[in-house]
Amino acid sequence: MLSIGDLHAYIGQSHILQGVSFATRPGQVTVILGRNGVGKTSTLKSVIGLMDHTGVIELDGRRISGLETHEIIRLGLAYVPEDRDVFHGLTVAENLRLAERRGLTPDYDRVFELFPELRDRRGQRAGTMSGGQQQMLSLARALLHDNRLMLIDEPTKGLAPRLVSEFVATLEQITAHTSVLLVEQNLAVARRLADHVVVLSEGRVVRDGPAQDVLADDSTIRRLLGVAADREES
Amino acid sequence: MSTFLLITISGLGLGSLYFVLAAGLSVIFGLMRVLSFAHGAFLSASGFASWIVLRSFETPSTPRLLLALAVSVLTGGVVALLAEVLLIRPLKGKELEQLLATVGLGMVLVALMAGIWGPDEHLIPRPDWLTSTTSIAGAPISNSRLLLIGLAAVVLVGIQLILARTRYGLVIRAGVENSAMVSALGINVKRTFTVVFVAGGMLAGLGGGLAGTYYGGISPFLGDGMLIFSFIVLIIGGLGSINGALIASVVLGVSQSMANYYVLNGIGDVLVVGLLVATLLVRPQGLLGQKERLV
Repeated sequence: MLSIGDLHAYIGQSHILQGVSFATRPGQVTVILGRNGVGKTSTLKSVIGLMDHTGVIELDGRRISGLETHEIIRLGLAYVPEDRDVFHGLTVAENLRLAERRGLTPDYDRVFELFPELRDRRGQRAGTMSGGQQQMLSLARALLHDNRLMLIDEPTKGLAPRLVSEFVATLEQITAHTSVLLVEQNLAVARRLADHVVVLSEGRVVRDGPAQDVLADDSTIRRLLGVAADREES
Repeated sequence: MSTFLLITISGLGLGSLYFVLAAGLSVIFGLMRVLSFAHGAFLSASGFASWIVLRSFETPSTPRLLLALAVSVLTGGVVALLAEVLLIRPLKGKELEQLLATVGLGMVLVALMAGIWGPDEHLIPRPDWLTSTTSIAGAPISNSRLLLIGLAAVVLVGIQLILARTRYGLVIRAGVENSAMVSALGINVKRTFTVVFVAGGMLAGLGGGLAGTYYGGISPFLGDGMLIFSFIVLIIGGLGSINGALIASVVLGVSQSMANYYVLNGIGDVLVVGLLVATLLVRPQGLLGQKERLV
């Protein structure tokens, strides 16, 4: 699956990723945990070429670092960004049409089965929808086609608690069929979805292993995640 | 009344010329964040291409005029393609360097044209009907103005149809908002950048061909003068907004012509600068900036 070796990246003068290495496994959900600013989003952006980096990133043995973003995505990756990044001036239907890939048949039935609300809002401008609806659309774009690996960045961020549980239920359906690399700060969400956990701290991998082992070490996890542990308790 | 109509339509013709150039610049800036100062030189180069075609015939005719316009559009496209591939693309993400590169390219091209054809204006042979007038409500309207207005309308409708109905248009509208996310959906945005820059060059080329019919001649410096007014159109209309560029082009062209005729010849340029300053003070984002882009 995805293999990341000695990944380094900078934002300005800040050395954000300082030799990150880990691998995902086919059919599993790998969750990257860590406090704000430790490099979780930078890792995902590096994988799809949206951030300059050094190191080796391979997908099923093929080196993808150095490829253009669209070339990497066309290898069978899908990216759901942290801030949804739906196109506000376009309608729901146009946002989805943009995600269609040449030569592949988009699976609108699956998308509308998971998110029936989007079917009714096809003509609505994405910018006029709520945060939860935009998150649905962002996920729906990624689900139009089968993917080898989905990269999902904090899908529950900013959602109301009621919506979080709905979203996690939807994510459980999605992850049953697709390999996922998920960035998440909410420890409760990570516990429900993760097969494998990678914990980042200050740009380095500090824990990497099966979810039940890594998450069982409660005191270490709470120390490494800080705020996230508090969120779980609340 | 007929004088008022004459001045109004003449202003619309001038505004049409601004719009043809500004429309390309607007889409380029909206998508690529590149403010191209080379497009004035593209316009002049295309005007010269048109002049070369027309002077190669003994008598100008409508088919020859159409051929000259086609050559000028093609010239604008080819020059823009070379500029995008050789200058803009290698400087991707470096907006200041890209801007300076277009300034430098513009200066080089103007100097090159002045070196080859001299700094003076060259008269462009035109078919008789283009130098004649058509009477509208008693006003003798120059056919060259009517041609400009007609072609600008075609350009406007064409751009709107492309943006609304085609996949390229969808990519452009999305790319204006967030080109990185468009790439993250598996779309080759670089290719779209090239297409848009070349299309902007072709519009400058059309502007070059049309400017010759409007002014009756072409010089290496014609494009730079047009470019300044087109940038003012962009700022007043709102950077990245086609509809804003249309409104600003009409307002500028008509008010410039009115002021020149009714107040004092030459005062129109001062009025345009006044409108620019007023816009920056009252509505810095321009008439349709931000809220309505490319729709």
